[in-house]
Amino acid sequence: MTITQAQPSRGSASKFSIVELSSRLFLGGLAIIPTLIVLALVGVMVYECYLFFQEVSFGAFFTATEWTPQFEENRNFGIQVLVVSTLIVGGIALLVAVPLGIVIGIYLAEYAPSWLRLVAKPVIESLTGIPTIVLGYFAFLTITPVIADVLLPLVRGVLSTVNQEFADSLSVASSNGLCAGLVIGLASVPVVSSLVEEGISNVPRRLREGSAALGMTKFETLIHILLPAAMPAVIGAIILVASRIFGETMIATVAGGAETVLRFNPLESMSTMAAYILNASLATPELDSIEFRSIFAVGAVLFLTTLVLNTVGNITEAVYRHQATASQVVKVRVSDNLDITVPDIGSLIVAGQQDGFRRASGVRRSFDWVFQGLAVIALATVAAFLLWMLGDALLKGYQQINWSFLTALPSSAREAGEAGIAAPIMGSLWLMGVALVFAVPTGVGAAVFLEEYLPKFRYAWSRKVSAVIEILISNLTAVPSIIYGLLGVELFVRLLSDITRGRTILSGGATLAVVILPLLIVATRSALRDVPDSLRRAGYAVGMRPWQVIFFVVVPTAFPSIISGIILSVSTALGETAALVAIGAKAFVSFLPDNVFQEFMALPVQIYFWATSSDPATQRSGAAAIVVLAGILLVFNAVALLLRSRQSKLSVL
Amino acid sequence: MELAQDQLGTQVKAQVKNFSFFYGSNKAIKDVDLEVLDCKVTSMIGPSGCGKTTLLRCFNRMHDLYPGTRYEGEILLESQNLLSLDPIEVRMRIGMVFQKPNPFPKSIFENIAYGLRIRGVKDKGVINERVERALRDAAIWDEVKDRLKDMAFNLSGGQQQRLCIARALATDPEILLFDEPTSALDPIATASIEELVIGLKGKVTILIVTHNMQQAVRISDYTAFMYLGELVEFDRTDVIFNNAAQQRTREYVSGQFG
Repeated sequence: MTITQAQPSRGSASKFSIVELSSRLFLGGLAIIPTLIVLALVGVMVYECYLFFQEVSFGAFFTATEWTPQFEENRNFGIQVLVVSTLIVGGIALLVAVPLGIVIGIYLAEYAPSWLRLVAKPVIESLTGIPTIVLGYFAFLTITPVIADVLLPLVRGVLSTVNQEFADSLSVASSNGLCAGLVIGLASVPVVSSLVEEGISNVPRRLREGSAALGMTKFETLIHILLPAAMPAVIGAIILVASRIFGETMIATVAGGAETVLRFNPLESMSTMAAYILNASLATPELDSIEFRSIFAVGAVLFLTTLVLNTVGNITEAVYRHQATASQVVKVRVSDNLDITVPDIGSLIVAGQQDGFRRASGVRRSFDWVFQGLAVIALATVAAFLLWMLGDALLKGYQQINWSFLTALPSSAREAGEAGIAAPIMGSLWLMGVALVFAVPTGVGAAVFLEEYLPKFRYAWSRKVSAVIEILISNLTAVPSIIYGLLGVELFVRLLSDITRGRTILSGGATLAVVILPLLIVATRSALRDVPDSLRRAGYAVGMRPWQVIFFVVVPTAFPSIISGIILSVSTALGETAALVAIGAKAFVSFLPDNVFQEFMALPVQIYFWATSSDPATQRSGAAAIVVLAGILLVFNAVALLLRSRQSKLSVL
Repeated sequence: MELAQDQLGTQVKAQVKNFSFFYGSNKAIKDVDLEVLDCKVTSMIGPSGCGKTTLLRCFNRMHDLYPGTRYEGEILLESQNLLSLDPIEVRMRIGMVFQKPNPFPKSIFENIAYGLRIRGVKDKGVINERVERALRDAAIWDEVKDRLKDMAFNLSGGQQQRLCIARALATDPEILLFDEPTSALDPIATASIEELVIGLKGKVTILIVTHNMQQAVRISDYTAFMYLGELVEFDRTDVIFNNAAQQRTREYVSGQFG
């Protein structure tokens, strides 16, 4: 009897249940959104470029040596003007970021004592959490004067002994490519260093021990074993940082200047592609004017650049992996590594010459010390940059901060010193709210589907689709936010203007949601991946369905990490400036918003307007706003860090 | 522990004297005295956590790679205390083979040549010749001679382990340390490694940690039994396994604990 009663409940465990099916469909629907964003981006770019090239010939676009879209007569659209500036600024930034980042990454992974790593890592990585507008402000108002007043006379002094005329001809513009490149580079160091550190740390310990057991010094192990093994990570880091650097907008705009002239001297003002997009958007050109379309044409070039870089990065990595594991086609030549820093100890061959060995290992060891010295200098440079910047903002801004600064409306007083930031703060909070409402369910849902369902389907296509979506999302994370701003203009401000009513909080928030969506998906997926499979198996073993395992076991376990990913995304959104400028954040709004269909101000955009003002009192207000913004971000990041460390304790248990 | 008279004529290669080792404040090796005889195979046995691998890794100063470790006492290599030498120098003289095969992500040839190059051997002819000799000594030459430029990862586990032995042999070590070299291998690969170790007797001093008592019987001349960080007994292998002096040794080798 009991057996027959039990039968139906067993039988009902058929392949599908309603909940299971709807969970799959719903999450699957959310997972399509990133693909739709890619399609929308491509669509918008193609559409606007098509219209643009109706008016401007392809040849002129690539060959003209002037960029003058604002002229009524003799308009010229020579993209090479912007490309050259971008390459100069980006090149300087790469020259700073790549060597510093690689050296610091290696040092933190292999050499640094654990206390130093504990201190240095968060300090270095906090640079990535600083909104780029803050860095731009610092570059423009603090570093450029130092270059002009301290470094330039020095360089002149040195050069005048060689060539007096050339030395005299040197001068530094108040906005210049050099300063923008330097600061973009310094700000990008943590991107390189953390990826390199991760790559090096992931090389199995037994390879290190094997090399050490042969009598290698740390440096020899590093050069011959660890770096070759970690090469995919290093190359990936360089390419990723290149695409970031070329798309960097706020530092380039504020510190690099807006002059669209073909020039090669980084001491002069030069507008990168991203900076042009921002400056042109600020002028809010009429929709459908040629100036408006030129923004998209430049955007398309920038978008393509990041896409190509990212794809090249993915391919290089894949090819390298393939080579490292390929069975037949290995082209390692016997003499391959001969040229790499093997110190000359030719006279010593075999064991038994003990005095010789001691001397030799002294020479060989010196490489370790030289490297560590360089790394400490690199680390100190980045830390000094960070401290200088924060101290500078604090010193300039702290006197301004009081209750009325936080609560007054900007326009309630004409006196710059009495302006308040209530409207930008409230604007930013509204934007955050809207962005979270859109992005969190979508991002988490899509991540759950992509991580828990899609790769586990037993269809032949599911793995391929999964791989394609992986590439799409990695491309989305690499797209500069100013490009998302353009997408927002076209999609939310224009196409959906009946719903969003134009340049409103709703449009801005939705755009921010698009900016943070890929970050959220990546963070959530890695949180889900950290859940041990044994927990999932335990769930299935007690008869749970997939959706039950996901929602009762996997997601609750990963919850703290997911929340911490959400907080970090929010702090990215909070510091986001470029996309909001493109959408049309206002410099003045005389009221606090009370619904999403109003014009808005935002804290980082306010900093931008204040920083670029010529009035020192207003610039100080900018510093004060930076302190407020940095304070909010600090709290966010601390909470996220706390959640993550709690999570890691849980996983140890 | 002093050995009986029967090894007169064989030299002492290394001598551990009143030696202790600490992980932080935890004394992992407790006041050990041990003699390692030249060109013999000495095995170290004992239950998990008895400190045999820890002691082995003291011989080539592997612990120096990690913070918070400390040595006390002496390990004499011939007449020098290797604890006061530069660890790099020690490792140039004492080779090691690990529990899991760990070939470098390089070609088979480069895996062997790497150690030679770092020792300053530049002459291609010399390198080629010594790579071949090492591969022959490690009984893997015939299997790999036609594909020296293949990645080492493509070898089977047993071949990889023999490659690692060849890598260690190529640099003419004075002592070769084996840390459970067959624990990750199947029985056939294990047999080939054991054969190889037996074949190396008389050429190089070997110190081997093993979990497998039959293996110790098969390949070693002398055996040290360790328990809880102490050296309980050290003697000829046949004595340890047939006629041990200590009660604990007899219980362990007869399988009553551990």
